[in-house]
Amino acid sequence: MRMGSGIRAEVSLPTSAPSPFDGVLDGSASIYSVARSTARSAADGDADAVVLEFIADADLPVPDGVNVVFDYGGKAAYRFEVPCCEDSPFAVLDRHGVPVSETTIRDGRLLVTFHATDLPTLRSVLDAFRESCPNMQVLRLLQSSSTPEESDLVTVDRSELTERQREVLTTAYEAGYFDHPKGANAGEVAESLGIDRSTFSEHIAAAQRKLLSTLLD
Amino acid sequence: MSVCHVPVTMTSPRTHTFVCPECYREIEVDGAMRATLLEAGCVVCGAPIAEGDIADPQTA
Repeated sequence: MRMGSGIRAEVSLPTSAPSPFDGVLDGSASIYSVARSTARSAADGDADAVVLEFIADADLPVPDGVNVVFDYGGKAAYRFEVPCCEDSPFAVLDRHGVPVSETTIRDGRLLVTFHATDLPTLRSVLDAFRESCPNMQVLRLLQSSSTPEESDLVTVDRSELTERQREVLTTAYEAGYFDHPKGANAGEVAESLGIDRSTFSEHIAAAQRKLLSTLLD
Repeated sequence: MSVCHVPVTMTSPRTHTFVCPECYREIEVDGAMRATLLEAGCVVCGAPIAEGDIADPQTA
């Protein structure tokens, strides 16, 4: 088992309690992004409260207590405050020290994506979710190095290719010269470009050498 | 200067569909997570898992 590599989990939960969105949304509206912060509630003196902000369509019907912070281009940012609830999925993740990477609401479900440090942590979070939301669904679990944090990026400076090299490369690519089996051979691509076959080969070789020298160590 | 970032991943992002024989939960997993599940059991109910509970890979 690969411990320590982290597991990216996408979980679907009801929007009703213990979700803080209980009573805020009717379930049909989509919410594109949720942000959250903890604040001292002025109304309750020293009781901890959670402030939630979300982005949704500007004409969303919302109950009293949910305020529009600002709107732009058909969308609006809304804000509301709820008392801390220790069964809330966000409180569960906080207690486990697990950061939430994305929260949305779609088709009446609260979709939370988070990154658990290891398998025991993931199990403990899912146990807590299941306890308060028996119909919790785990949509997706990813553990491979293809997660963005661990992907292997290189920078390709396309301006290193000459105009002519780019043109030859693009024409050859679109004609299927790089497919297997080939959609067009060197002679055919050269002809469509109006150049000699040997000139075509020189351009292609130079372009490939530049690109591959960047991609390969 | 025009610059583009190319993710160089030598493994394709293929996923498998895992269906737990005990709790019937259906979860999409990648190759590394598949290996973890086979070793550790279902992440939700802890039931042991066999190769047959995880469908063949599909392109994500």
